[in-house]
Amino acid sequence: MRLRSVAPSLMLVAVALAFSERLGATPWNLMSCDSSGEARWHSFEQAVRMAKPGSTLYVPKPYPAGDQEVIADYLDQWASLHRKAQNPRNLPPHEEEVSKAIRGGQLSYHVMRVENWTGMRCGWQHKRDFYYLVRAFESGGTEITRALIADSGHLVTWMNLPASVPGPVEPSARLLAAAPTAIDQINQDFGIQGTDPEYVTTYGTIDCDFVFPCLAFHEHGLSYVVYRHEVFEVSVRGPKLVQGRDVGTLATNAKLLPTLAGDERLISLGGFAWTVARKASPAQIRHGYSNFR
Amino acid sequence: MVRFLLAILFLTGMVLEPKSCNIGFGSPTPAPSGFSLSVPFFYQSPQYCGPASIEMWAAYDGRTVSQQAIASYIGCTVNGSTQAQILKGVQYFTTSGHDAALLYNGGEGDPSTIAGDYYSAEITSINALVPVMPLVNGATHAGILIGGQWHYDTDVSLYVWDSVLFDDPAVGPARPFAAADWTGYDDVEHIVSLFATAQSAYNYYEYGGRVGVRGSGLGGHFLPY
Repeated sequence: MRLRSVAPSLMLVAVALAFSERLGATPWNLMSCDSSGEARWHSFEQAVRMAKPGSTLYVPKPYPAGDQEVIADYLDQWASLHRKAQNPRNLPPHEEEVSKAIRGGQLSYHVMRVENWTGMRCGWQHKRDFYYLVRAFESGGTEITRALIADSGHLVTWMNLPASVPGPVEPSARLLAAAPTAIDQINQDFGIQGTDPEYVTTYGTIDCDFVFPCLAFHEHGLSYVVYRHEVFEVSVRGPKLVQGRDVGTLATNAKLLPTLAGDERLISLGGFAWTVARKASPAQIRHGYSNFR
Repeated sequence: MVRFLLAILFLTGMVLEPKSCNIGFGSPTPAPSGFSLSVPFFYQSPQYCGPASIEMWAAYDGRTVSQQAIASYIGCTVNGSTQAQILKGVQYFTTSGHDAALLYNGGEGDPSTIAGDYYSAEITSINALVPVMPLVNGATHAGILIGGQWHYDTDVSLYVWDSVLFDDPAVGPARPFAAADWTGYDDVEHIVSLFATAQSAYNYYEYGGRVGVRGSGLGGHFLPY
């Protein structure tokens, strides 16, 4: 009798815990796409799902449902793009060795999700809320290539040997720890309690590249992005800038950028929406003090 | 020698050479599948994507000049470069871009046609062996477009772009983008040589609309991303 009365409560608790866990892992963004595009986006999705080999829209696993399907789409398109021998001069750096490794089946693949805060999220033809980042590793653990796959399964861009080629990209973006690991490190470094970590790609002077995304997280209900090991608060209460009107061309940017303070950065939120992010100190983050009151 | 490549881009597409063309560019014959200009690559100093891009374009033309010298000449600031500054730099430091102009992918007129002309200008310039400077990331970043990969589409008898190669001074050389997504990334402005792109409108009207690239579809829509 006692067991019977407790069991439903335990189930409720279990469901609540599972749901809160799920919420914690749910991707988030600050702006929604204009719903007037729904019909076009649906039409594009249907066309992708029905595409046959030979079509410009064809991928073997349209709108891949899991990591293995993402990898299948990646490998199919890779093979298609490399179906002919090419002059190495016309290929991206290290393409031959990557191609050899892929064909040799010597690589292991890891798929990450990257939320899309760039202007490409709310496209005319299709909405791309997120991308898949496929990372290919040699048996010794060296990441040999990193490719961005759209949610539709289409290959977008890639970068070979992302962790070791020279250039100004910061080390954490090159190494790209899993989001839970990355937020643990940020929490430790800054003495904060960030939650809901996810990787994002953005446009602007917080320039989180497609294959070198930045970590975004919440604390005290506020939103932050880590860029070059500095934390910036991003808020819907910040300036509402519109692509083409206020920002996004050389002329508009030339007017806007000089007005930004030293601790302010321009960041896209997806579609036509942009805003200004403000640097936040660890103390501000810990206490939930917003820069946008 | 007719050295019409023919390429195309996105859903409304653009192409250059149709039928019995003799593909040049030193690509494998008879079925070329890629081409890139020999543009020397340089990483940027902080905030110097504009000067770094000009440095690459100038080096392609055989002129060696440092980013610092370019930045000093055009007047770069911590906020980067303005339209007038970048144009001034391209016109002054490059040879093939001495007549450079900033083109906007928008304005008055039919958006589909404007976009068609815009991307046709990029392929036409590459075909003329002249680099293009796209302004990407909402015009907060610049690099150099140097070429791409393509396939022959038997349905339309055209060479169709699969991907483009973008020298990104912040990330690395010859960065590939699927052609359909390139039109979303580079969707606002670019700096091109007017002479090198003189045939772009003709190419677009002659071949545009017959082509579509990987990842694009539903022909007729002007923005494939």
